[in-house]
Amino acid sequence: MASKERGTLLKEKHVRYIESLDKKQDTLEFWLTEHLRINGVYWGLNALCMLRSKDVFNREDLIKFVLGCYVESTGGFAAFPRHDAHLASTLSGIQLLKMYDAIDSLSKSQIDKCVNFIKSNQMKDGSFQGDRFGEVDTRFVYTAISSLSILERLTPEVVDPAVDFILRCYNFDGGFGLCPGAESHAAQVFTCLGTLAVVNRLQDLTKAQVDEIGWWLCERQVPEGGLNGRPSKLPDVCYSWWVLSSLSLIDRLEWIDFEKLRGFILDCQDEKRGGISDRPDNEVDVFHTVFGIAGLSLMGFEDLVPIDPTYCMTYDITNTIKKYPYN
Amino acid sequence: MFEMTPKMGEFADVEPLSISTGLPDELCEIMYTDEYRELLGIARSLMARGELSERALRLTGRVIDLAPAFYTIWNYRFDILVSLSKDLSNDEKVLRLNEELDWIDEFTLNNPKNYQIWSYKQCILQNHPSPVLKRELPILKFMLDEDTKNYHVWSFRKWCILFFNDFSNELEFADSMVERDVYNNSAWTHRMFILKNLKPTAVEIKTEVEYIMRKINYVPQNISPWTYLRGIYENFLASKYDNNIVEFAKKFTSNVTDLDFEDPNVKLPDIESSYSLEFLAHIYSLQKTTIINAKRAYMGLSSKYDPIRKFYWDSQISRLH
Ligand SMILES: [Zn+2]
Repeated sequence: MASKERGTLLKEKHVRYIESLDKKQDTLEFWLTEHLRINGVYWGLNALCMLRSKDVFNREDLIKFVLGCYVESTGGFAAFPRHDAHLASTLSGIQLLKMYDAIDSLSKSQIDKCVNFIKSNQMKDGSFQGDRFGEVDTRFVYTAISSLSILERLTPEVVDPAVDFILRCYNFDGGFGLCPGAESHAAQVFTCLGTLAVVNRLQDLTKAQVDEIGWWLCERQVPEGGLNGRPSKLPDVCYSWWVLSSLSLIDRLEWIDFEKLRGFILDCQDEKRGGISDRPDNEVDVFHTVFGIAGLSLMGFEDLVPIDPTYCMTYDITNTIKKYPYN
Repeated sequence: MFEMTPKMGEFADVEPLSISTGLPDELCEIMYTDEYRELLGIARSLMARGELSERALRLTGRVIDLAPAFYTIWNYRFDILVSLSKDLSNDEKVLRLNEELDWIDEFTLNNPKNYQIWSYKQCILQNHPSPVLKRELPILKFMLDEDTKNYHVWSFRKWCILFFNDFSNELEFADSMVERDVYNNSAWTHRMFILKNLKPTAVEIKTEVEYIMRKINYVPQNISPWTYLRGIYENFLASKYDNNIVEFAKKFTSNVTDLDFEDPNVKLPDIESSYSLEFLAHIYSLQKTTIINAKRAYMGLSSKYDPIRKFYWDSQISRLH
């Protein structure tokens, strides 16, 4: 299909698609994804922010929903009311409140409890478990550190061991894995670099390491234009975010062929109903929709609101976060 | 579907808790199937009263079958199990946790994409009085046979090897996976993980380099063994690249770095592997006398052999001196 004209981003359709998501409540898949609901709402709102359509969601309803996910007994946020608190959903909850400038809808003691919940999941080696259940993953280091940063409650006691742990996840091939020795994976590279960026410690990487990381990241682009998450895997739209944000954090964004990647992302749009899928002609979902749009935003296409690669929220929101180290 | 709903059976005394959240927000108004609603209602009721019983354990199994990613119920199941086994004798506890491991394995086979199971399993093994690596290997092998690059299974395998501190099966296993699919980056990475932990001798490293060369001869345009080869030199051979390895890499590049790139009529030949050219370029860039060859290699990559990364290759050229 060489003659196929490269389209544009179907903004209006994507807005309608995201709007339609919370109207699907009578479907089986809707309640089976309860465990990701708060994350899903964050992805949706984040996409709307970049599309300048934040008002599509009702602010008051959403804040009420997020507060309903707050677990009084532990101080974290659950993915859905009356589920257990988890670090991943805690970050989404805090991000949503921040996006509505509503952190203060939590009381001082609720915030204190939340900070304690996050800190209590830090392990001796500096890593974080997702909840008391013990799943360790660099992803949770990022969610913990980013949450504390948005709450402006980072301290050296938490940050220094976390940085040590992240540096131990660096691999011989220039990537980062989910724990020390685990295979390099683009999403893990983002969580590691993102953590270092949040705490202003990217300079702990050597110049040689940064070059290797940049190589590993730009090596993710396949000749057709899309990015994969690991060598010899298929390209997938969500890596547009994980890879580009990482390259952006180390100031090597230009090592990607923008036009080709843009073409790949746009080819993954559902031209009828809106939404973006992982690969052309697959079923769309909100996860790939937000990360496709975020990739385009990072590359400066389509007149989208610029997104901050450190926090995965638009700059107008993240500019108001007091940055660590505090003085 | 069940022959009878749980309410009618062993849970007759339990008043199910409503699973609606009570919030007016329509985001929370959910239509559940009757079965799920009933099971979850009972589970919530049992959780609320902190019941840690055999029947509660059975119930969690049924809820997990319906909604495997619902992590709250996994937490509850773990609490029940810990409570039920805390006063058991050592032998009884072994039996009990083995039973749980069997249940996990069966669940895993039915839900290959679920990854919560692996951290749950870690917790069971950590609580087990006498865990056995041999018990874990068949299911791990089976799972990786089904999905050869499954990130969570590979990560769990590494966790297991460190937990049991037993590397004796691993090189052979990694080799069998490379044998099956020489492009499997997970298997190549696993080899590096093993070697870094085994502290190999110089002879073993020499054997390893020969192993990589055989795999590259088989498929030269394969990024994983080339990256791994460089990793072996950097981690075990102090980045001292010998003539042997340079000659080996050159085989796949049609001697393109000997061409005169200043000549406007120069025509770049096809090559067997852009990764070999990249590997050579790196070695050449390390010494003043061969910088010119490095530059040619990067120019070739930029213009013909890997143009999608043109800006990366050009940046490499600009840093040569
Ligand atoms: Zn994806």
